[in-house]
Amino acid sequence: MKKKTTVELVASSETVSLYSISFEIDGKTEFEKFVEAFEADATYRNDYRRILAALQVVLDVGALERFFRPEGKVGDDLVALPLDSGKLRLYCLRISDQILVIGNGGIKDVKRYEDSKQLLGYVMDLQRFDKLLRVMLESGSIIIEEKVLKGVEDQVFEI
Amino acid sequence: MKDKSAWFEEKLKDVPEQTLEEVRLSAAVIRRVDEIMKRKGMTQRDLARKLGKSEAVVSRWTTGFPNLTLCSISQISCALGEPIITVPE
Repeated sequence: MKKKTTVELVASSETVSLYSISFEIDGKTEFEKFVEAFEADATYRNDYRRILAALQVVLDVGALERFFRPEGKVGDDLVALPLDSGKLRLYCLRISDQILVIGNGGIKDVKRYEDSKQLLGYVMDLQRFDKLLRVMLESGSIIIEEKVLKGVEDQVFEI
Repeated sequence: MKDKSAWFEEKLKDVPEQTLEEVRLSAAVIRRVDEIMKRKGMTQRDLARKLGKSEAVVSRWTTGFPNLTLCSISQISCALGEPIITVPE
């Protein structure tokens, strides 16, 4: 069943905007769910804090390609924010150096995310959103204006 | 559009200054390596060959926010032929 999805602004700086997606059914952004899952987790607290620190760096200097690891298919925007050898992953869509859409994430204790039902779900949600976003960008319903996804606030994505 | 900036600001307060500094330093090293590689027209494969490492290792060293040892930084610096970090005398 398709899920009605909207986009919310998580943070912005002079040059970068961090967005996240939110499913109508639960009303929380995917990034909020990630934070709720790991902020009090003693085992992964350091990884979690380093991921937040990395997002602060992204706000400071940009969503540079080298800060992320490509994890999706050829041609999509899916990247992961892993920190060194840590197992915690935060999946994102790097739309440009100035726009990052943050999804959910979790512990990658398998070789490929496809081997984890949970991680695969998070990745597929972002990939479906990415596909729809590209269609809307092509049609002009949404326009990238530097760090802003102009028009995204009026859209409901069915992913 | 809902704006979660205030919520995110609160969450960032949980990050110790030392963690933030560590990640900032890591990002600075990665950006410096990237800048030198681009300027010299070097690919990841070129760097891997110079280092005598696999591309997978070089990818781990040069993307994300790696916690590189001084040994690794020195190896990369020698392979690139330029200093990556400097310490005030």
